[in-house]
Amino acid sequence: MKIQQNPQNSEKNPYFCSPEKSSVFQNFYKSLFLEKSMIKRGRKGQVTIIIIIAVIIIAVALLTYFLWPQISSLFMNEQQSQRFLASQAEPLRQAVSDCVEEVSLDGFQKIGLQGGYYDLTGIRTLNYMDNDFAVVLFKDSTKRRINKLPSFSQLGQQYSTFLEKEGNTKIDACLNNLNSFKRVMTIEAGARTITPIFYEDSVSLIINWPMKLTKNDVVQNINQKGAELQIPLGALQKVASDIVDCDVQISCKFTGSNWDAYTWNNPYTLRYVNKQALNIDGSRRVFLLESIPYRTTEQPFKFYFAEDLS
Amino acid sequence: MMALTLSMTIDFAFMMRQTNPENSIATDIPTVQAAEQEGCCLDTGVNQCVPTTKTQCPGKFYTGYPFDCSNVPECTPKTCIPNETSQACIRSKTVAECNAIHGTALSEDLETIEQCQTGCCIIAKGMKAEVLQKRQCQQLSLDLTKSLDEMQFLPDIKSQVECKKAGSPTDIVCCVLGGGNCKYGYREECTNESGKAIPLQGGEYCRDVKECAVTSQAKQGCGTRTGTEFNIYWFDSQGNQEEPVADCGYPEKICKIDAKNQSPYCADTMCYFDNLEQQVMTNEPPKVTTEKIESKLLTGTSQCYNFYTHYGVQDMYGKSTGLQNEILHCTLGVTEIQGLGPDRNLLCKNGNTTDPQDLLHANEFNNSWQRCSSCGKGGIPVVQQIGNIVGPFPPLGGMIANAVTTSCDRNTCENALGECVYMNKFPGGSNTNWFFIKSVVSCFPKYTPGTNSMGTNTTYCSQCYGGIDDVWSLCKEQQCEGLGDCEFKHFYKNGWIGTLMTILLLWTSYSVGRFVWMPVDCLIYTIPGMGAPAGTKFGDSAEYNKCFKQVRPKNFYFLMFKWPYDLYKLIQKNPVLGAIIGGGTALTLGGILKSAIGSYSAPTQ
Repeated sequence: MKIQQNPQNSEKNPYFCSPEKSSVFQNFYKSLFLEKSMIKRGRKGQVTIIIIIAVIIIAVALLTYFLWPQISSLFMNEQQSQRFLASQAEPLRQAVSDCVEEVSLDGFQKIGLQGGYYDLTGIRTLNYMDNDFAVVLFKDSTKRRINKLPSFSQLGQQYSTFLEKEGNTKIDACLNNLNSFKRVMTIEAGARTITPIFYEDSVSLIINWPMKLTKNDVVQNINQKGAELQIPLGALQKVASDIVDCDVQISCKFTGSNWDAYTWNNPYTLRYVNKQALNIDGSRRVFLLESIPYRTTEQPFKFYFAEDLS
Repeated sequence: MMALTLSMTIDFAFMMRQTNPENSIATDIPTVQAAEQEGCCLDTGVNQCVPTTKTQCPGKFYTGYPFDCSNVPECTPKTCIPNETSQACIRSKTVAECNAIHGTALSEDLETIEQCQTGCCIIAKGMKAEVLQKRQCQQLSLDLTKSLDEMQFLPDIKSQVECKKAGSPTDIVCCVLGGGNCKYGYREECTNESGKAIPLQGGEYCRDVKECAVTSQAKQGCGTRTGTEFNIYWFDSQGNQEEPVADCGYPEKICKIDAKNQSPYCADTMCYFDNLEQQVMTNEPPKVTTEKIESKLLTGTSQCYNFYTHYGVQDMYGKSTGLQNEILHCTLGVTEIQGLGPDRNLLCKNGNTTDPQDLLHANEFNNSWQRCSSCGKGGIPVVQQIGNIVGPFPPLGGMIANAVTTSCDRNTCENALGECVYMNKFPGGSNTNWFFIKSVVSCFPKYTPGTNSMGTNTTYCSQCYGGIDDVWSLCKEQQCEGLGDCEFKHFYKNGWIGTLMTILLLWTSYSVGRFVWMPVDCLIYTIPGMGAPAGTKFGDSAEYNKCFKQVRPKNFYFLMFKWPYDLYKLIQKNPVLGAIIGGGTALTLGGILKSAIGSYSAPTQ
């Protein structure tokens, strides 16, 4: 049967049959349409409900995930809270120690390459082979020889400057501001100080960073364990100091027989130390000291400096 | 109070210097913005006595030439005694730096301060034995909770090995700490740790003590007790040293730990050089030869490893920019290189100095190449210059030059002045000066200085002369290249300027020669038939003087062209005299002509 469009109703309902044809068909198609729309509405409603339920489930899951520590703590007694804090304290201390170690290693490597200086403000440098070397021995305008090699105390000050300028920020970034630990407990951190102690074969870092850990009104106070850097800065600084101590004297020069005599007299110190000297000219030279690793995971540590007696 | 008053006085004085133009150190320096002002910063917060700008200096800032802190009292270098007694005294530290580490700055030399003396520190009969300064030794003793009575300080021992030998412990015990824990070591250590000291007989260790729960020979390592560090030992499970595994035999070998597997081994302390050759220079003739260096070195010894020319070039003056002398040091099996610089101001020579064991040591010495050009110089400059001008022209020129100028001889050049080479360019041979002619000699560097030694000043190449060379431009190719990175060029090859220079040199040398020969000329004039009136006797003084005063000077230029005719006539009349004069003239002119068209020296382009 052809379906002819009713010109009057074609825009509204192109499928609406001409009323002249059959009221049966009108009713049929009318009922069909209604059913369809009813079905559509029904399906839409189901989907909506499903979506709403899914959103609710996801929200609950997320809330559970983020609030679980608070939720679970509601069910913890004092003893359980104490045990919980004790179990978290050690990983926290280890994380602090690891981050301090990692960041400090970078800092000391930079300090070693710059003759013991982190801050080179006002320090003379010599450029050789496209590298700048800190001048730790020079003559002033009155021809007096000046020793600028940092002592161990000054090395400590340079390290403190490193922490102040970039080290502390890097440590905090490494720890992610303790966010992962703060999820499961409350942490109140005090002021942080890190003190280096220089040994011949290593650098010990004493980390003083008191923290108050709280869980369900249970409090545990902790401080940090230290970090140990496998860098023989003590030995390298001593060798550098002996070299500069000789060259600062007019009657001594660390070369030739004097160099050999130093080797003969100090085999214990030099067992894991390699040194090279490069003359730029007769009065300016660069010393390259480097440690020879003898411990697992130890990397060579470099201590470079220059002398300018022109 | 006195210190405060003094400090205020100093501050006030510097304020005066800064604010009162009449008292300012540098009154002729233009006024600049305060932010850019250069000066000396006493303390940047971390560095002391450093030249900075005002903005970089939070602390005291001193302005005034020379801006390098040398005029600031607090920046005077002194001996610094650090506050921490574990730290060594430091030589030549600025007062400000010393104060920054809470030290004491003293004007005395370090050696004169008793607590700063270095020596062998032995604590508690060998518990520790190290080479330290006396103050450090005292602190170490206290750190080990020992009284200063148990500290022994031997200032005559500066060697770590000798110190360990002197401090070898004799009273070794096994210290029982309780709970099966034990520690092998010194009785004194055991006292500190409140343990029970069990004496050990020879060959006994903690494993032989029943209170010790240890497993014997758990691992190997380098010794940890004083004097055993260079040998390999067994250690028990608690880290206590047991019997030796191997005596490495220091100084030939030394115990080291392998970083990869952490096992000890006896490392060879000798250094080996297979078939390495270095270059050496000879004087007669100046030439580069190669020789093998020592194939092995003991630890604590050294040898030279020198280069002058690039590979394969035997010519002493082959281009050698960038090459240097080096000292190879052997340090416990590792070769350490000490480069003496491509400027070659420092050179290396093998030779023992004061080593009682007569071992090989290489030492550096100054090239002093600048001194070579001073050979033959001196005296009154004007007189010297006149002598240099007439010197190559016999007989009178040579006689005058020998009389009034100083000479450069081989001994002065090659021995007194240093590493120089003597070259007799004219008339050659080994004689410096003949009676009638002053030799044209040069003294120039044996070891060509590198470009850096001349800085940016390349005009040294133009100083390819010395003495007579200065005047007559007699630069030889070897001499030129011996001065550094210089290139030998011929005047006549250098375009129209070179041609002009060549002609000028020829004319000048002939003119001077002719002038110098005037006395002989006038002597010839007195020969009958050579110009003087008939009947004149040879050597007649009246005619001779007349020649000088009247005849020759008037016709000087004409005579320069007529002189060969005169010589021809002289030879006809007196062949012997003619040959002498003619031969000498030919030699002089020939030498000068040969060199004059030869030479100048310029930097390599």
